[in-house]
Amino acid sequence: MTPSPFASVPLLSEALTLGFASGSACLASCGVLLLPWLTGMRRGWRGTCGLLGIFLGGRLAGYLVFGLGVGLAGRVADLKGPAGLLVGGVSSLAVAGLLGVQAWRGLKRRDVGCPVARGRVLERRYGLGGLALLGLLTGLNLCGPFVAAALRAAQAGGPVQAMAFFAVFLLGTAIWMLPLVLAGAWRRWEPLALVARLTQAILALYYAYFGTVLLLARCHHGR
Amino acid sequence: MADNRPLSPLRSWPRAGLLALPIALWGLVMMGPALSGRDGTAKLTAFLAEAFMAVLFLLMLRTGQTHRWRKVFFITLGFLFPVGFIIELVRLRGSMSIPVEHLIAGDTPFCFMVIPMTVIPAALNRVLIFPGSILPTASNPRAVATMVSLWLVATLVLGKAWCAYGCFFGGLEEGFASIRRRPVLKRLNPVFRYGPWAVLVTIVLLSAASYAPTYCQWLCPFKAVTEFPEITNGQTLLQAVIFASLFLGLVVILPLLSKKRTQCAFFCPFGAFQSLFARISPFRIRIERSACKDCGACSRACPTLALDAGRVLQGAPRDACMRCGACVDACATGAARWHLQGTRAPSERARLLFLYAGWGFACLFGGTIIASSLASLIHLFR
Repeated sequence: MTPSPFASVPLLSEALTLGFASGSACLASCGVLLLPWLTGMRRGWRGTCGLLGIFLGGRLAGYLVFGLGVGLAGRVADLKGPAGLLVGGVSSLAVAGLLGVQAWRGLKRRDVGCPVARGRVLERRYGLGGLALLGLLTGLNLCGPFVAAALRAAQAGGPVQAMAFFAVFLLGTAIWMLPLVLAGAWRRWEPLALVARLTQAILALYYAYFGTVLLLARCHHGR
Repeated sequence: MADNRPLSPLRSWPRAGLLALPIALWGLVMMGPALSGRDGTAKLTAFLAEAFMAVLFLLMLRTGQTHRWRKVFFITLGFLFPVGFIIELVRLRGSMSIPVEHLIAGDTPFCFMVIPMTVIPAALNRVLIFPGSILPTASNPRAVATMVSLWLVATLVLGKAWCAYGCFFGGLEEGFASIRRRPVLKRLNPVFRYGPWAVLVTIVLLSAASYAPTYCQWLCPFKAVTEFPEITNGQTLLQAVIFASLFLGLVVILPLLSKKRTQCAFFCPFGAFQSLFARISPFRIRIERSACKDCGACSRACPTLALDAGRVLQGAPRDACMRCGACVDACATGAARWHLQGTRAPSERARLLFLYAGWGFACLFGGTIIASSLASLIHLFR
């Protein structure tokens, strides 16, 4: 019997609802990283919308990879166990590295006025690539909403359904991210970009500590 | 028309005394509970604190200098507050560290530094991310409602002046900044002026994400001289090391070398938060360009780097200005002056009105802390 084209609607609407319901938590956990990054890039409204799209694209890639994994396995590994600690630790350290480099480049080059200077171009390229990577890493962040989505996606009935579940879940959470494009409103105010870079530097230290603690916990767990 | 004359330091004693009378009476009201109580020590210290505050105010009016006398009060408050606080903590708990059961019971005194971090979680989910109680209790009189109400009223009237007349932490670094006659570090990187904003953004975002007062957990330099979580594992040890390092670096060593309030200028998120309200308060500092000789005395005197050559040209300090009056005291030509927004009141009158508000708050907040800390100190040696 051919499955009804509407068979997956309940599952996807569940994904959308879950994403929208837990979007405030996603905004809180990703906003910490995203707001300083978007502010530091100093784009206008449109540019910031594009940057947000890049971030969400990276996040979607992370979700799809994870969705494929849980869909194939049909279950979710113990996320509080060694694997979860390892993923969390490595991704936190990678986030710390990204933030640190972005902050350093921004602070170092803040006085350069020429927008086409090589350093500026490199900084922009890094900013875009880094933002996509940041999206990917936050997509693998084992926060509460993510775990809830992963558990449900594992029961979706296959890798395609699990990936679709995650994609729609992302759509639900993405609505909450839209206010972040307001960061583009102050692009001409240089002190704000400077504050954003300094904020990234402090956050880099925080995430480095957090990642190290998770990895130490992983080592301790392994004994 | 604006008054361009330098401030007159030649006020007569009777006139200054008469003008100081309202503050002396206000101080008596503030010290009332202690003065009318049965504890002889508390009575004595309340009287001393009242006299101290009234005399300083009188001298401010008599000499026309603000910063010089305010500094005496502020440093006294800065050094007595931790002493009284620690004595009280040791009396109640036996140590400076907060036991976990006190955190759970909500017995942690609420500090104004937490206010910026509580806004988003309280607005979004009606959650208070601090282990304190909303209303005062017998075991914790320093409750959230008390401190927030006090902060709100003071901020609406004084704005950023909270940092020069109310903050019981700033006096410590002002004390260390006053030790040397000349600074060793003469040039401080102006980029770090944005540090308080970065710390503010970081702690507000992280607190919203983690539902915990991140600044208190990780970054508060004054934990080193007040209270901190009991050291039971690697994390609490690291926290204690961070607190001590920030305290030594920003509150002791840098102020000593630069003669600036470096913690306030480069780090304090609450100062940045108060700067947001700087324009609500009607009391301002202005630089009268026609009288200015561009000597730079005001910029050198400013303890928080709110004034530099560029801002002098613009005729007003940055929002980081905390109305301490150092620039006005340092200005030989009277170009730096007090200003009451929306009026043409002469500088001296604007200053007087500001001082009634500022010193009234100082008596309410700092004066009572000085009295209680002195009482705790005397009780300790009895």
